[in-house]
Amino acid sequence: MSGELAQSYKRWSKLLVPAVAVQLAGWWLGLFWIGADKDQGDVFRIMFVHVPVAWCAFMWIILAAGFAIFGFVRKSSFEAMDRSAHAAIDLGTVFAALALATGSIWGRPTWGVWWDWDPRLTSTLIMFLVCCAYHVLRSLTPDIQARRNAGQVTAILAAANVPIVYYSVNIWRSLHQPQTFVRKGSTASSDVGIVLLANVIAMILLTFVLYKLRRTAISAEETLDAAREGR
Amino acid sequence: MTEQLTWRKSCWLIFEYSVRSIFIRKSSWAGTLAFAACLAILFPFSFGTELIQKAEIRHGAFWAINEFIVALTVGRLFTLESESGILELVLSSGISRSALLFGKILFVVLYLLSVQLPLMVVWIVFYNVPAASVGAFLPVSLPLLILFNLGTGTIGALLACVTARSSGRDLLMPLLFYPLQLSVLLAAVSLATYTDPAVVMLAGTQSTSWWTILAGVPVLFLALGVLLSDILFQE
Repeated sequence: MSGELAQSYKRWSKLLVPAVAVQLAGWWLGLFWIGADKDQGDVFRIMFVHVPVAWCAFMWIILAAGFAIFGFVRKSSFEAMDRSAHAAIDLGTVFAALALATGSIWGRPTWGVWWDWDPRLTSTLIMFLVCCAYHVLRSLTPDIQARRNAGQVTAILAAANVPIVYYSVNIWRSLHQPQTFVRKGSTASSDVGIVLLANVIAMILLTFVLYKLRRTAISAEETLDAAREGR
Repeated sequence: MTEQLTWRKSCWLIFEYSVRSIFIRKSSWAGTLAFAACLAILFPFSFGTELIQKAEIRHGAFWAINEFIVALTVGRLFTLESESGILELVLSSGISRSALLFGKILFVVLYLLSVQLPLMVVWIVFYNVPAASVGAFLPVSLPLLILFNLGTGTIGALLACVTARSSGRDLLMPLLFYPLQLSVLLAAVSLATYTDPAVVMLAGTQSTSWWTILAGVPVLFLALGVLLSDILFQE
């Protein structure tokens, strides 16, 4: 078992370098290939980091809920799904934090403030806080079965917030701009859209490799804990 | 015996038992009301006695007090039953878990309402709410309070179950509860503020989105609670 995990970890570690290279290529396109925006200037280039990061945060939190639901439906894979949900929430937490940070960096030159109590920003912060609570809940629940149950339910609750974050810019018109690329009659140029799409795909690939590494690490951690406790 | 109980009867049984156990002693109810009154005194000194009388601030203060009452109530939702061993007994009797959850949520709604109605009188007096503002707020206050209680009560009851076996329950309840119910609070504060004639409304301000959120949150979390009730309550 531990040998298999070590092999899996090594295999995915090797894929980390090409995944990072693809992402760097995507960022290069965003930085040097695309021209500056006529309104925002060069500041808009952070979009090629901020948007993929935010979409990855949504994706991993929704996937965590998917794993949790699947685990509840198919009892035989409950343990495996709990580990998958745990790894996915880990990524969701990191990427939600990155989305907040990059959004803040973008907000300072365009809005003049690092933070505004805008619905999109606030709902993203809530999503991040619920993800943080997931980790605290896991670490403060000693019984393994209770920990798995509570973790899975919290993963589902965290995902319930994602539609609110996503549609917040449509429900409440505020400082954050509405969806630029998915709405009809979008004014964004096609090359910006292509580079953004390339960055989103690159980021998904990178996070998938990171997910596999984290998933393997969680399995190793739990196997070690079980061996220590004689389970 | 309880196996033969229908879902509705089980739900009513839990609701009735919870109401009786709280209102027979009354000390818990009186304590919560006293706590709310303490908070009502605290806010004017935090924001300044002049500023608290501004329409936007006084409505915010009222709902912030409600927030703390809800957190206190849902944090202790299963305490009495857990300490006396009744919860284990109820769970082993085979009673429907979703009925247990639903009964408890109904109890939270009623319990909170019983504290909020006298609190509203305290708020009107202490915060010098003008008669015109009271007149405008009263017609919407009841549906607003019921939906607020239903939303926060549902989220709170769910989280009370999730954190039941955790060693850091006191820390975890507020950590999970406050972020998740923020949309309900925001909706309640906005709708209450919109009713106040002293508030200058911004162009394009619409209350329908807030009503949708206020009604949608309990539906979403209630559905989750019913679906996950077997996992939430384990012997």
